[in-house]
Amino acid sequence: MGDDVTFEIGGLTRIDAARLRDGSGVTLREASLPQGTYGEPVTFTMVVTVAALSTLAAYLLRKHQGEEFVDEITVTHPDGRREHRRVHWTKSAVEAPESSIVKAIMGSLPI
Amino acid sequence: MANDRSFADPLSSSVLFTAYDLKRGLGDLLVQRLPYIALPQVLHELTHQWCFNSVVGRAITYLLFRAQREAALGDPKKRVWRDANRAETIQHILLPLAEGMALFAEHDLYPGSVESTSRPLLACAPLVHFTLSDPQKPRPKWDNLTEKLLAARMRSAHRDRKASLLLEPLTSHASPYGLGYLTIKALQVQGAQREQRLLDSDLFLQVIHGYFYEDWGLVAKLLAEDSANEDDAPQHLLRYLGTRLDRFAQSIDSRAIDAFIDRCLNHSKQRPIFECEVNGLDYSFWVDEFETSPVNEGRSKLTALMQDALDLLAINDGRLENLVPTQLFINASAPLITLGGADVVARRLPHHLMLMMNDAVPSAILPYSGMLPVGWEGTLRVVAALIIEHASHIVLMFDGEKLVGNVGFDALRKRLPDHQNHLDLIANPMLDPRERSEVGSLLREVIQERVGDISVRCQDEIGYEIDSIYLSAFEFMHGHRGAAASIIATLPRHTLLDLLNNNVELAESAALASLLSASPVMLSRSPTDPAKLNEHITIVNRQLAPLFGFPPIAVSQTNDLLYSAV
Repeated sequence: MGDDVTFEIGGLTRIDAARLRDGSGVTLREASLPQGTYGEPVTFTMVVTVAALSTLAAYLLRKHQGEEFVDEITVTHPDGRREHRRVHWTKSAVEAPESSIVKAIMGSLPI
Repeated sequence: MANDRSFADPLSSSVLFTAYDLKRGLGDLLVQRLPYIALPQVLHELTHQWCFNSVVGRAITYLLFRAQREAALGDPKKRVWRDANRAETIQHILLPLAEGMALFAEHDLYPGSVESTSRPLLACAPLVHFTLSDPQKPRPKWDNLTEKLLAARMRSAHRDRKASLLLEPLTSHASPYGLGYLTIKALQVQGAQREQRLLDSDLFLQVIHGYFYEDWGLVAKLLAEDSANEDDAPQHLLRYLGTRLDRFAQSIDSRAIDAFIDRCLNHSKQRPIFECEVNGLDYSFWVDEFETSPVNEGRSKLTALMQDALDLLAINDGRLENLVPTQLFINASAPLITLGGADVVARRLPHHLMLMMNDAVPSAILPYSGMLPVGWEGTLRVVAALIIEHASHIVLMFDGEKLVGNVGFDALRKRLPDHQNHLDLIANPMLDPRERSEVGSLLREVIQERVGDISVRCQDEIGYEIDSIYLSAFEFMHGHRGAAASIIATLPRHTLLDLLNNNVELAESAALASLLSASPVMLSRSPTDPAKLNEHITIVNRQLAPLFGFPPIAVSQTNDLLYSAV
């Protein structure tokens, strides 16, 4: 069941995507523009499975420069339900940042 | 919202920002403060809006208005396809230029040293929070804007956006951004070789806007009545823009720049105004052309087009009764951009209106004596907008269709007593960007139902030819055409990163060097190790020089960053 859950975050730039090049378990989806509009350069949505949550955590850590943050992700559950989740992370004195971010992302979901 | 891309829709004159959440930033906007982190993206979209409101932008919009009306009437004059095709084709051809200018505004634009100021900067300036570091010595607002822009651009998120430009494919059919941005930077290098004042980013952007978008020659070409050879129209327009790109540097000299600045400032009442009246309504507007043109063909054709596109009497035909008011609203609201729209819970207090960000924390408490009764509670649609020409910021609050409160709008009405009808038109909940972008889609459908999807067709036909006219701008140092194109063709992804051997760190350093070189003020402390930055710049220059014909990042003998062509 854990493997069927996915986590998404948008707004990744091309350079974010390039940094993820070696990450497995990660899918990148290009954000589209409405037809006929003039938009900002392409951004991507990163979709990760539970197995690749550390990649998402590393991205969030870099995005917020290692500081406390509140960010928004979308969780797609095995039954197709989509949940917009706010992730709030504060630095921990005892736990490595990436693993504590993973915990903040997972919330009450079992791994 | 954080997952979407910001965009501007030329058809509905709407802009959707993702730089910040209006609801969270509402308190700031209600006291007319734009979060500094939003400045680069706001400048990007304001530049698009500036181009939409040029003579070329208006000719495109009015061609589409006319095509929409005639499509709804069954295409009686058999020109829906021609009008729509011309509009879509020129938009497609101009797309790299438009995006290049907007990206230049986002990454490079600063207040300059000449008296004339570009519209995007003018519109932003009043919104930058003004602080006094020394109460005895107030600092000019412009210095504050410069520092805010530099601070916004030094954030890692912005540096990543800049670095990502080096990963954009340099082919227009894949992406207009990299090609367009490098073309604009190349034009600045070309122009500055003839007139150094063009290193002033604000002056340069005004010149580019005047040269390409306030070009009566292009308007005449676009509106030419040569229907016998309509299939050749894309080629004619391509060739015209290619010639304009090739001729840009030749048009630059000291006298031309001085004359342009004088006209823009209008001290001697020389600023050209295009006068047009339709059904007794005044549709005049200023035209900041770089080269004054005595030929009137473009002007007369635009006048005739506007008579068709803005005719109020057409509303008497039942088939146009919804379309005509929509088009008139779009036209009236074109001079402003909306920063955001949000549904906000509100409560009317005895002398105030309380707007809630969420149930617990108030966003703002405003003095209020409007029509909402004391004790009223509900949800208001709140829209924040910038009126570009007047550099005015307004916040409008709607209860359903009714305007029930505002910040700045009443003051604007007092300042512009002759514009009451126009202001009445724009005080409309359709200003909400969440609604306006829907309007653009609906208007496109009116034409598509008649003649099919023209945008796809024109992209297929001329996609590859667009590249060569833009690449010629940054082939000027090579001395022969095709040099840059042949290099790009060998690259696996057609990106500058390919030339940097996929070294992301080099791209990051090139981006930082470029952002620092554009700033007229220096940072007190380098954001990165200076020795490492210099080392990376040396490598970047060596690896990109074959494409540009010169090292693209110019560094002085004392290691000061002078200029970047990337």
